[in-house]
Amino acid sequence: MADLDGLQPLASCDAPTSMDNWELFNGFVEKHATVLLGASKAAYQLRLACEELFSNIIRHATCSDSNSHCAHLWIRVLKIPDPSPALIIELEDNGRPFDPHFDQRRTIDRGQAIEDRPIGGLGLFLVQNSVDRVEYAWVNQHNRYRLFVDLPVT
Amino acid sequence: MKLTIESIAQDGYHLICLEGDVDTMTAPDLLDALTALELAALSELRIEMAQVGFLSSAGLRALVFAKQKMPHASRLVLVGTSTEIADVITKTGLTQAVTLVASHDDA
Repeated sequence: MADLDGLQPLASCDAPTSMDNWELFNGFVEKHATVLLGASKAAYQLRLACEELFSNIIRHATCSDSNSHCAHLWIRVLKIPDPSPALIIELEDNGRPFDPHFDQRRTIDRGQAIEDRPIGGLGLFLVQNSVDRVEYAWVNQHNRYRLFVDLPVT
Repeated sequence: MKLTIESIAQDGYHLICLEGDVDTMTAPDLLDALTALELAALSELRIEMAQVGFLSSAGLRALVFAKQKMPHASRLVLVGTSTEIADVITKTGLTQAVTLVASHDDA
């Protein structure tokens, strides 16, 4: 688990986990991924990984906090400086605990006939395989996902 | 970004032209357009992808759905797919189900 204590977010946004905020969440990530990574494959893949998590969070993050009407999502953009620079998108929600068990997920069987392909699992596979590293933790009654994209040393 | 879908019967195949992003929000519209076709009777379905900037797993599931409903020997052809989207299709092993071509002349 990366220790990011002391890092100030470059940007942040937050809103209820509703499809009404779909454009807000995805637009925020697209904007900052493009600014920080350029119009690159890495920016596209980071956007893809976030889109898949947004979809999961909005569908499944019913609220665990009795004081709130629905779950809330916080998004932060962080940057680790040299000597191991990385861009991090941190997503945090106060919905029910959902550990994707990224470290235990099986890879997709690419040789499996299309007729036999299961529908589920594709989204989380793309999350895991679209960034350099992904972490999940249950912290202070929140789900916290961190997506890491390695940056060149300056 | 919105998704525009145009569905056109052609001689020998059916063409669906897409423009926009195919994500969680818009993929149900693509699925509706695919469901409206007689997929089990199609020998070839072409999807024009040149104006598609983004394809998520929801869009991939719509493509898998279509191919699963089409006859085994049929072709699902994606025309003009961007490098980024083609990479995702390759990564998920779906190149066994879809044919990626640069233009209609290559289909």
